[in-house]
Amino acid sequence: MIGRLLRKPLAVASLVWVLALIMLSVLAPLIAPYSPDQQDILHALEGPSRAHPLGTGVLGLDVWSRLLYGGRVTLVSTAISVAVYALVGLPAGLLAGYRGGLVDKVVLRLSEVAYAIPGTIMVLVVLAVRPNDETAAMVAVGLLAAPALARVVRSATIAVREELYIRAAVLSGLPDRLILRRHVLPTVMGTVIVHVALFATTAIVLETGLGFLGVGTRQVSWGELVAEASRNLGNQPWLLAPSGFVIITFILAFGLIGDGLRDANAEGYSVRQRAPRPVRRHRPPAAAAPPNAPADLTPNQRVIPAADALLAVEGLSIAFEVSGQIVTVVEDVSFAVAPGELVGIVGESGSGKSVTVAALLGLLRGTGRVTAGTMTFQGRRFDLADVKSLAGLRARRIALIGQDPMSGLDPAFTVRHQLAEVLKANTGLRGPALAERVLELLRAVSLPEPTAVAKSYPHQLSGGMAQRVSIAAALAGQPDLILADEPTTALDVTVQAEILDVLRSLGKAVLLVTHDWGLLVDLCQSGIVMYAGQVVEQGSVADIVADPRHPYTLGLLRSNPYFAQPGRPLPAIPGLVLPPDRWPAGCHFAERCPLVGPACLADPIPLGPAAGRLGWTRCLFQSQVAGLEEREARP
Amino acid sequence: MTAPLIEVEDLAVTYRNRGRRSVLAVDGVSLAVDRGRTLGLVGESGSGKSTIGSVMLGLVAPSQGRVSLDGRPASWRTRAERAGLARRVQAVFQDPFGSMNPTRKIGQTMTEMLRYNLRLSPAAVAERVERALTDVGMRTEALDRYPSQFSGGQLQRLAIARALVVEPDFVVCDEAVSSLDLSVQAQVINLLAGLAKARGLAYLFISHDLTVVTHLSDQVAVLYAGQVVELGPAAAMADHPRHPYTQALVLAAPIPDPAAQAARRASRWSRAGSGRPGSAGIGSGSPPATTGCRWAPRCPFAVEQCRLSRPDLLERTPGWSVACHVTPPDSE
Amino acid sequence: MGRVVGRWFLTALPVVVVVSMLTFVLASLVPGDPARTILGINAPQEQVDALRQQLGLDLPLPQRYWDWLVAAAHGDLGRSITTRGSVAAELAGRLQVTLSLVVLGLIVIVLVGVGLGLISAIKGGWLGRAVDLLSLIGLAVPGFWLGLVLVAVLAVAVPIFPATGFVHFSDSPTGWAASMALPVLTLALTGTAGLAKQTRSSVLDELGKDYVRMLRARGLSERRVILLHVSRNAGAPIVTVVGLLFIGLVSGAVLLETVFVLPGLGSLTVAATKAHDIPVILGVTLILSFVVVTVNLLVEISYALLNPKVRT
Repeated sequence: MIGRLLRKPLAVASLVWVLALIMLSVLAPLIAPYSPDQQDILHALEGPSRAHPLGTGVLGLDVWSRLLYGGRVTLVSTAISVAVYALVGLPAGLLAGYRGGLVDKVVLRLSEVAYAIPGTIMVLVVLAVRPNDETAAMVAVGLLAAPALARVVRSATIAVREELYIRAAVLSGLPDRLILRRHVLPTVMGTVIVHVALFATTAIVLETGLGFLGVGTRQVSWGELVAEASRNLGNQPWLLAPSGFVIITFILAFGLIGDGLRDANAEGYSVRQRAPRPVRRHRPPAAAAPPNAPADLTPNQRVIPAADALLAVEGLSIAFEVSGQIVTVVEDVSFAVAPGELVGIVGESGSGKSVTVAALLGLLRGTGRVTAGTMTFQGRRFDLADVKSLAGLRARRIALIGQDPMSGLDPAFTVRHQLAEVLKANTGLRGPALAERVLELLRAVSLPEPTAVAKSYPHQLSGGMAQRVSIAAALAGQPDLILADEPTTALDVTVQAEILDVLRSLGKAVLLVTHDWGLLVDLCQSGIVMYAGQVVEQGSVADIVADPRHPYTLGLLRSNPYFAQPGRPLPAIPGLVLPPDRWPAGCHFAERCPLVGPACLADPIPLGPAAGRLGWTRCLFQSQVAGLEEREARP
Repeated sequence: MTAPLIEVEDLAVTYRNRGRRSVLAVDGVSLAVDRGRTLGLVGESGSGKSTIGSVMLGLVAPSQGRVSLDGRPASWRTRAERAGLARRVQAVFQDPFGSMNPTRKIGQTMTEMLRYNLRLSPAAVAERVERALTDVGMRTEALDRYPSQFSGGQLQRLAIARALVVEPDFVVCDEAVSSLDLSVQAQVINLLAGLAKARGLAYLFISHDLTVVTHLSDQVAVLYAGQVVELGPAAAMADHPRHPYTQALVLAAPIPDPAAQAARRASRWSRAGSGRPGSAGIGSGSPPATTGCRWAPRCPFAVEQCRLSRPDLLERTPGWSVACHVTPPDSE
Repeated sequence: MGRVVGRWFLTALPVVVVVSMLTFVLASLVPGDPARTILGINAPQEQVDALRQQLGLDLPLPQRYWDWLVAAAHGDLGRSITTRGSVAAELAGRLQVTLSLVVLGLIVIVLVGVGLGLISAIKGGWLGRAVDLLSLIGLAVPGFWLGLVLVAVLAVAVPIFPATGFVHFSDSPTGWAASMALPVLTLALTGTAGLAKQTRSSVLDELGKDYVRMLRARGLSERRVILLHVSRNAGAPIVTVVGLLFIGLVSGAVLLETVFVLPGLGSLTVAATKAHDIPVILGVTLILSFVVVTVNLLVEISYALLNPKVRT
């Protein structure tokens, strides 16, 4: 960790500065040209000069020398309070969080008491009792702040305690002491470092403040130099500068060291970025690819003629910026949806299915943006990169249902409020008609008690109810197409079946995104299979399932335990999906494919028509896919 | 007859819901797993399936009932008892990213149990770890890396290896493949099945996915609201479930076979009584009953008796028990 | 809401009592005899004993605390050792000064800090980095030093504002405003950036959440998404920080009152500390802990108003 810290220039500079201040204070008697109380009456309150590099104060006391000596007080006092703070707060927080029970209650109550009294006042109380005993005051500062640290550590520990790896460690029979030291402590360390550094800065401010008020130690201190400056503001404002400079830079250094330590600690175990790779150039579609001219039919033309299509997406590519690099995650995706048609996109995580759908409404997260692609919706053409033009379609033409119903609703407002708001934004409804429409929408998604649900806040609903509310919200603008992005993944199967029934009953076109073949088969007429950012196969669901033309489609279908032969291993696809920055120029599936040949590796594989049936596939050997299954079936 | 490897009898677990009323998460459950066999545990969220796993792992103390290992009562009270059981009972959890401490190298996590609990020599530790890694298809280079350098599937393999290093007899797999992508899930399922055979492991395989459970298990127990409603042979039960709740589960799980799925859907609708798709039908809003059969409020076959008395789990055919007052028609 | 207030009574009042108890016990450790301090070193012993009895100093500590607490509950905080005046009366006048400083400072900080945080979260870019830099300065520059610099620049070098002193609002509203200008400016300069940073991170947190994306998908205008939904949800953590900020401002005010020679609780405490005037010290801690727990109540109520999970 030290090594990583030393690679951060700001932190190193700060460290050097703190060490320098420590050295200077320790060596003050050797370095200082004058003793701290040596007077030079003739040169009182002067600016910097050769004899007094930082000028003089009252009675001609040398500022530079007093600064050197003064540092000793601040350094020692800060160290004392930080030590007390960390040594009391950290163990108390760890124990309270890990063990709970009585320790926990005591820590919580103590922190409430500590929060109820401004720190400066309590320190003054201590100093009223023990005049000028700065050590006692700084111990009190540490003790007063320690419950706050304990509280922070406690929350962090409780969060860690729930982690599975702590459970696994408990199952390993490790003693609590080892679990705390080896598993809990490293995880909460980042938080602790930040808080200790932050407290150090507070302690320095407080200590210099005490010196300024003249209630701290009787020795010369930085704070006292500020006080001296304040008494002579009128005739020598320069005096503010030297003491201010050391105090501010000292605090700043602690803040920066804290930041550096926290980052160094986190970098130790978080993802090391892969060696930078050249940004993949987006290749123009090869000549053999389906022509993209607007007059032409969309790739799944034989399923849905484009002229009749409600939605036709052409040549959609999406890229994200990941640590300064542009990474393409979706490449040249084209498909169409007919009015009222139920279409499903099936794929694994990283296939690009969810981002594809998000792009249609201009709702890509983070740094994502559309790099190419157009959409024709109800005869109007849209540039998918033009997010503003897509915003007009939201809710009134195309609605979205998200994956996690609970987090898709604003927790701070009732269902009624949220539905009414959507209606107001998208329809002319107002007043009683609006209220009636809210209930009507809730009834439309088969919620048994619409009035009760309308009054509820999202956290009072079950997952299934919340997803029905989401669907109701999606229906509010009377859209013609509903994008459903894994709408049932967070739900139980019996609830999932009911949500699918609701979607089926709407009579609207649905574009479903799913990882579950069963859902695709249950709900959809047409299917689109995606792998590593590309459409690898599309056609009618019945055809895809019965007669797959891409080895990935077949492999993914056969991975499903439903098709398993009892007592025999599942025919799993070997290997892993490549991350987007390592996709090859040729077939993205080549590395895992049993049919791979030299032709698959060189150039992008175009999406071509399926032979002998409707649909499209991105495989050069589609006729051999069926043979794979027979090979698989042989003992 | 020899005692089962691990057994819970008449188990009940009550959770206090932060000051509010207490919740009965598990209610009168008895289950047994024999050496080298796999018991599947299926149920929806809130059915208590994970809680049963946690009790068998000593992570949750039951409010009633007992756990026994090889016919002797198991206890996790003292540290020595915990350390002893840790050598025989291990677990693989759902979230592979949460299962490994992100701040520690894989090697540190994998070896600590051997070093601090079994107190093996460095050579013995290295040998055990290497064997476990080979078994899960990972290389020893993995030991020097941090969890963030692996994919979910790889981490789950490593989590399995960590459970294996102590050479346990019994492993609780709590949704162990649920968060994995289909193609990786198939690999891990094969791995678990292979390990059971090669090492003679017994599993408690907990999942919400009936298809996965059926594939991996010898026997399956179906839980609803903390109670076992059906316990029977895996494959036969998936084809012809006898309890109305099991039937509802089977009918609700969509399958990638268009004709069969259409039949399931029709059957489900006809049971819902309305035949109108999209209707609330069996009423997803109805919570489990507190008296009588818990499933009764949502059951199309419920009779008066179902609301009054709790049905016992009775053996209908050898090795196949059902807790139901009526005999519902076959669902297919 | 009633539950929030009820819970506050159950936890906050005991906290005030515990704080006062701690202070009382601590204060009883003062070396020397308060009666002797009052009467001077040369007073005869009988006179000292008589005063001890009069002050109740001969009673056991718990008895003394109880008597003090009962008196305090009736508004009697005893007499100052240095001025012999009523502590309660002294505190009442001074609380006004401290509160006007802290509340004015808080209002400025909240208005500017929240605004700046919100804008920098939405616009990002250089504004965000500016907030980062400002907050680092706010962290590193001690308020009392900054106050002195402001005095040197805006009162001594270019005399725009009075350097020190306090004018009562009832005497002259403009004079009051002028006397408050520099102290409030100092508080605001040290506190604003921290709140801006907290606001920005809360708003960015909310903006990344699913519901914001869904609200956009439902065709709501960006204005409405941010001004109604995001700001309400981001409000809860911000309110908590404002509560902590208030306590910090009271701490800071102690020093600033000395810098600007304001007759507030802070300068009183400093004087009492130097003079070992224990009754005054006890009174100040009691009053301030009461103020703080009251502010905490306001925080909890606002939190509950913003967050239905706490309410329902």
